[in-house]
Amino acid sequence: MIRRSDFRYLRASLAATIVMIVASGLLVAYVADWHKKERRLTEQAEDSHRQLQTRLARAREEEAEIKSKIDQFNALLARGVVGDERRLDWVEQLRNIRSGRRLLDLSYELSPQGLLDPLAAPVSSGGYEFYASPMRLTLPLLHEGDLINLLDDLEATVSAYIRPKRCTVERAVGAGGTPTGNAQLRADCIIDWITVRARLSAG
Amino acid sequence: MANTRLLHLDTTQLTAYTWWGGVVRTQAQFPNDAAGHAAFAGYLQSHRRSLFYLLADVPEESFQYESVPFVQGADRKALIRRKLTQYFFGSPLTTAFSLGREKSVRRDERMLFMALTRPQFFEPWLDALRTSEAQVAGIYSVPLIAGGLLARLGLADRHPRMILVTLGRGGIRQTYFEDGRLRFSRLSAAPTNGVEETARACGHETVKLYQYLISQRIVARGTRLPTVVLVHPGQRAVFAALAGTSPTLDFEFSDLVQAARRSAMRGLPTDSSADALFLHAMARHAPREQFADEGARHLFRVWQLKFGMVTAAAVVFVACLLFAAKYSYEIQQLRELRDIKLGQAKADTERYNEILRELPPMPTSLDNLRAVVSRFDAMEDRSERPMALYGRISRALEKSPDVEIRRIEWQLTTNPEDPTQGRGANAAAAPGATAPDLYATALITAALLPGPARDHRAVLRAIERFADSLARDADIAVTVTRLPFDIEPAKALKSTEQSGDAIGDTQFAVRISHKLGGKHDPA
Repeated sequence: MIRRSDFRYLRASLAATIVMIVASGLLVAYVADWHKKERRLTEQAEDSHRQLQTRLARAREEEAEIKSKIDQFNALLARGVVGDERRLDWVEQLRNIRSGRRLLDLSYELSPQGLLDPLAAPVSSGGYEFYASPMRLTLPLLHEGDLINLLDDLEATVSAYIRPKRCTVERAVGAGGTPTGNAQLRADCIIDWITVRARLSAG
Repeated sequence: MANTRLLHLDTTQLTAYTWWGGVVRTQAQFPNDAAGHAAFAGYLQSHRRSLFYLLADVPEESFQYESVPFVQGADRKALIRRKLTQYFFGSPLTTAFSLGREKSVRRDERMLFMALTRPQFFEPWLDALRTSEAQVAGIYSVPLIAGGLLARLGLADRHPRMILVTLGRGGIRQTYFEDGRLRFSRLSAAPTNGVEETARACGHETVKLYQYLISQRIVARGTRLPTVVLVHPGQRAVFAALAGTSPTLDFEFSDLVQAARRSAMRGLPTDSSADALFLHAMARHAPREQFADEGARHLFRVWQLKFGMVTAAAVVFVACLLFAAKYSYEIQQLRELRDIKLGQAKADTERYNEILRELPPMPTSLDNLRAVVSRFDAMEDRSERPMALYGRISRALEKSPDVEIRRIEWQLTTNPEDPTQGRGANAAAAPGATAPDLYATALITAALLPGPARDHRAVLRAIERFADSLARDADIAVTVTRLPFDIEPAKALKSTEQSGDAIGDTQFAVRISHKLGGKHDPA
């Protein structure tokens, strides 16, 4: 049995034991903490690398898509679909088509511009807005080809996207049921002239 | 770790040895007088941190054999204490050990009680040890050590009963063993006048022991006992020649040097003294049984506690060091991995920036770009020229040349059944609602060209033929909305002014429609 008087023999060993135990505890705590920090930093680096890899893979996949979209947008820009309305250009072009196609007559009424009906394109356009200016076109036709050519020419030449909404073609007959003049048919169409413009920032 | 010092005590002196790595080295000798005792005390003071093992080789020993009831724990301790007091009253240097259990029904335990019977001889030496606060591991005797030696030399297996004869400073030790366990021992003075006399004395003294064993009925009369004499190989021949022969003892002269080697002793004996061998065996394989009481060994117990504490703490510390080393290695690997990942991330960032650099100049932000093009594509999906349906009408007319178109009303609508009720292109969608499908419809007002008189069935057939031609394309829905006449039971059906049942006015209306979309469907 250990007596009180034995502590003088045990002092140094007890001190050494305590020092070693404490040192062991501190060493383990320090190293474990260090290890935890290093592991966290490494996990962060791995996460970051994974995200970069995902972004890079997506960029590679999207590169072709982005290039295609840039080309499409630039084409719309070049056509004048993206940009301000050029109403004077439009009416001039209508005049040119009428004379070029030797149409019998052509009358139009261009209504004020408004936002494009969401039914026509039910998706968001980000920082840009789609505008539509409805136009009523009435014209006598020798044959339905005149209408087809008119719409084709408008699509090819005007600085807008042409979207017919309604078109009625009927035989042109007078009160006696006989055709009036040279026109065999009569067309009455409603067409949206669509342009795209950046949204105005608030304020 | 404390140094181990071995003390050999015989009747004339105490010799101190060091023991290290299997080598027993003489350090000092202390005669058994006051000066020797004082010198010994001084020696102990100089080596207070050492552990001391005392080997007594004296003739004053007692061996008492008894079968006692088998008990355990505190009862056993009490029984042994009682027996030792009973047999050796007055001697503090006692011990007992078990010789096994009897094979009788009671299975009593056979015990050997031993004592060093002249405590006053040991007192000055023990007093010096006490005064100098030496750490005494134990007090042993040569017979106690000899038992373990016997087993390690393999002699117990060869000879269930035997006498072991060894030589030393104390004299000629003869020890009797039964089944490898100590039974009795005797120390005789050795002649001082040469090997030959010693050899003869071995023979005589062993015979005396044999006679004593017979007298005590420890051995049956007439039993031949193998007697192994441990001698140096250089003196074997002398012993063999001069130890004599006996009708009851089979002498066998065993190689002391070989025995030392088998005991892993370095520093082999140079003569037939077995003292160093016994000291080495005591240091290496000290038996549990020894003569010192707990009071004498108290400081040894304290040393054991110190050693245990420090050793345990050291083990824990070393384990923690190993743990730290392992984790440090892992930390190093984590750092290397992190460096690799950072390098790869940098390379990937470079490659990503390179891809962006190689892209054509962006006319707007990527998000706006995607949004505008997506909306434009969606708009194209929900747009169509009237020519698409005009073409189908034209193809149908080729198959129905008797049909004359009078009017085509084309429009985009959400309700192909009744475009007047549908939401046209001007109707705004409710916020948050899913956009309904959009259809291109054409309401065709036509009539049959004048020709041969037709009855009602012929008119219907012509109209159906035209409608069927329109319906050739699977995606076109065709509905005849008006006939020249009503054949419903609730309506009137009358003839015309013309003769018979020929129908005059053949105007009818047909509506065709198809759903828009799919031009820009994702692959």
